[in-house]
Amino acid sequence: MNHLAKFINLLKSLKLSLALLIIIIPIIAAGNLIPQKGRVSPAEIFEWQGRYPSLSRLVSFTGFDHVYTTWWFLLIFTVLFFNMGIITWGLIGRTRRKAKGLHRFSGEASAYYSLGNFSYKKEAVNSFEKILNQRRYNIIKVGGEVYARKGWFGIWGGTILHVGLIIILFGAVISGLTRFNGYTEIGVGQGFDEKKESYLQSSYGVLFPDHKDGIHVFLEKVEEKDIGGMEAILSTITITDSGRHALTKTIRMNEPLSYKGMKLYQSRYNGPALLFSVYGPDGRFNAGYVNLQTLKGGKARAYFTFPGAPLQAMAEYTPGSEFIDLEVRKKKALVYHGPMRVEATLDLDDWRLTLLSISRWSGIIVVYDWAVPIIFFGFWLSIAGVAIMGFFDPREIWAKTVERDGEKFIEMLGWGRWKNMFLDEYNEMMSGVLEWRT
Amino acid sequence: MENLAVLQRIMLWVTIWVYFISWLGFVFGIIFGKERLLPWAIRLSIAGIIIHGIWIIMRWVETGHGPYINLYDVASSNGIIAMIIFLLALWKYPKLKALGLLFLPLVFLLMGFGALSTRKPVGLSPILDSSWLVVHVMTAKLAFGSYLVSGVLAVSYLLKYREHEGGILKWFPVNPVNEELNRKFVTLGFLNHTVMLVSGSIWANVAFGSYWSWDPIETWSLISWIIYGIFFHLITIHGWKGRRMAWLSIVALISIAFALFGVPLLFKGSHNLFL
Repeated sequence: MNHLAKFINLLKSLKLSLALLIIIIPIIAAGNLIPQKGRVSPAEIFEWQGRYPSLSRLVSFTGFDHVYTTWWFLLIFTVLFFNMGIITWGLIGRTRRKAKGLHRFSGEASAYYSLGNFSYKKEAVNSFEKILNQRRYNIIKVGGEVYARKGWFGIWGGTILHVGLIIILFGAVISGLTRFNGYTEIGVGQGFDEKKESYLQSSYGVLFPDHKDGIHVFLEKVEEKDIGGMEAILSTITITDSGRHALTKTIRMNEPLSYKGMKLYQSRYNGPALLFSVYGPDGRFNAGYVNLQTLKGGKARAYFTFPGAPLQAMAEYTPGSEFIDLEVRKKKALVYHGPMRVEATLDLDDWRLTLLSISRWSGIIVVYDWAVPIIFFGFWLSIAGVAIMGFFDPREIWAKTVERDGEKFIEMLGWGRWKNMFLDEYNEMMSGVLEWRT
Repeated sequence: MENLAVLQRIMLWVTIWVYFISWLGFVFGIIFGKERLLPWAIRLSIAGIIIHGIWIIMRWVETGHGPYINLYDVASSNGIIAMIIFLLALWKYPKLKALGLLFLPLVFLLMGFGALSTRKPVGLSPILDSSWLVVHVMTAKLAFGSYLVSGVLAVSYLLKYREHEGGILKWFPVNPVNEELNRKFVTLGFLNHTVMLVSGSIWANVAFGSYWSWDPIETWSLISWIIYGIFFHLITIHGWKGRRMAWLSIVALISIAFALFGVPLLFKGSHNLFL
């Protein structure tokens, strides 16, 4: 056997699927045990590396610090995809042959159990057919043979489940290659052009078609509302496309906004936003938002540099308050520390700072993922497959009259996915027939 | 509300004790041969479920939400669903009644473990404001209950095998039936497990645009799903049965228990908001 044939045989073997599944388990578990890049803070990763220096070098070398995006993890899934695809293709063929019935001729005969071989009496056959009818078997007669089937739709369960899983894997690959996921924080009255540079964090699939031109996202309003005991964040967003108003919608968790394949989600993050203006010594004017991060206890704080000015600052704000606590440094030297109200102005050397407003910012997630419908279709097929497996218990009985030494016999074969249950039922049925034996 | 909180706590412990006494009924009925106690043990279990149901309503009124947020609620609500599945199984397959001996301790110990954890109401995340919540939570509980029955069947199989079907073990279901019932309950659990994973994924996609984020509970739930998938392949295609099948069933149940109760305690993830 040449290498290619061996490879193909390996690729279509069920042992390979089981081996891959067994390998996948510790790998994905490792992704939970080892801090993953992009999933936990760099500080946490640094701390872990400090604690396990040798292990962390090994982890970094093998890619276990970003398991779910390593080439070998994707390779395992790709092999699993092809392996499952080939197996399922064969499964579909076998199931189709089974569905047509008479599948003792389809290479499945080995799965049959010999159920009995008793001498013939016409009454016995009639009685058996009656019992099969009572038990809601579907009886098909072909010549001198009798087929009885029950729960036959169940033979499709496993096949449908596997087709569903392949569709999910296919969708996941498409999603991984073409997906875009971005996160940004914008203040009320602020907007951003929907393009790469606008996001604080983003991830791209290698085949992601570029962002559409001319889409602008504007935050009209942010509110916090108690909805059934839950503090929900509601952001009212307006989308303009090529300068024209496209739509306005209030989004919150579980209620995203969709526009031309783009989806905007409300993140769980929001907080106070300060709008400052800065006049420089050369008369230049700058303005910008500073988004404060909420700390434990409700206070919010931010460290920042004033736009266009060599001034570093720390601002702290208590929700509901009319002023902020501001600390400004120039080249590390403290130049101001004190409260600042809205519309108040601060002159520091040649710089004039004005706090124009205290509003709110909202964290917005933007996603493009064309593969989601494919994946969800796979999900529904998988559920349907497992449900069919659970609710239908396929079984088949084949009875044939044969003549030996001048005496008529009934030879019986049977097949049930769950052998013991099937044999239990068969034995129960046969107890009603026994009296008709010769 | 303060009185309600005290009353619900009392009710929870009453439920645990009723299940415990019911278990004593199984112990005396089976181990000491007092067979007339067995129907009473089952009746007590039913009474326990009724009290348990009243506890759920009281807890719901007290917290303003269903029992799915913290360990206190989750352990107890998983307990009632497991008990309902077990009693329905008894009703359909009376041969299983001896399994009360093994099943009830799992339920009341689980509830006791939950009852000793914090019961402080926690702030609800707006992510919970979704109709997917009911499907996701309910199927998780149904899957756990079904897998628990299958695990107990597997343990009874192993005990019976070891003791060669003598003594009290004559009460346990005979082996072929045991295997088939094990497979049936695993199938029921697997169906609910699949719906739980799918509904969680769809929900996450609606909530924050990510259908899969390798969150620890998500990951471990997938791991246990794969283990049950391997279980199905081994029993249908490779013909695993008997002790091997029973051990596999127990290993898979351990993976589920770890995903449900171990992972939230050991790992940080989005589900920690709820547990």
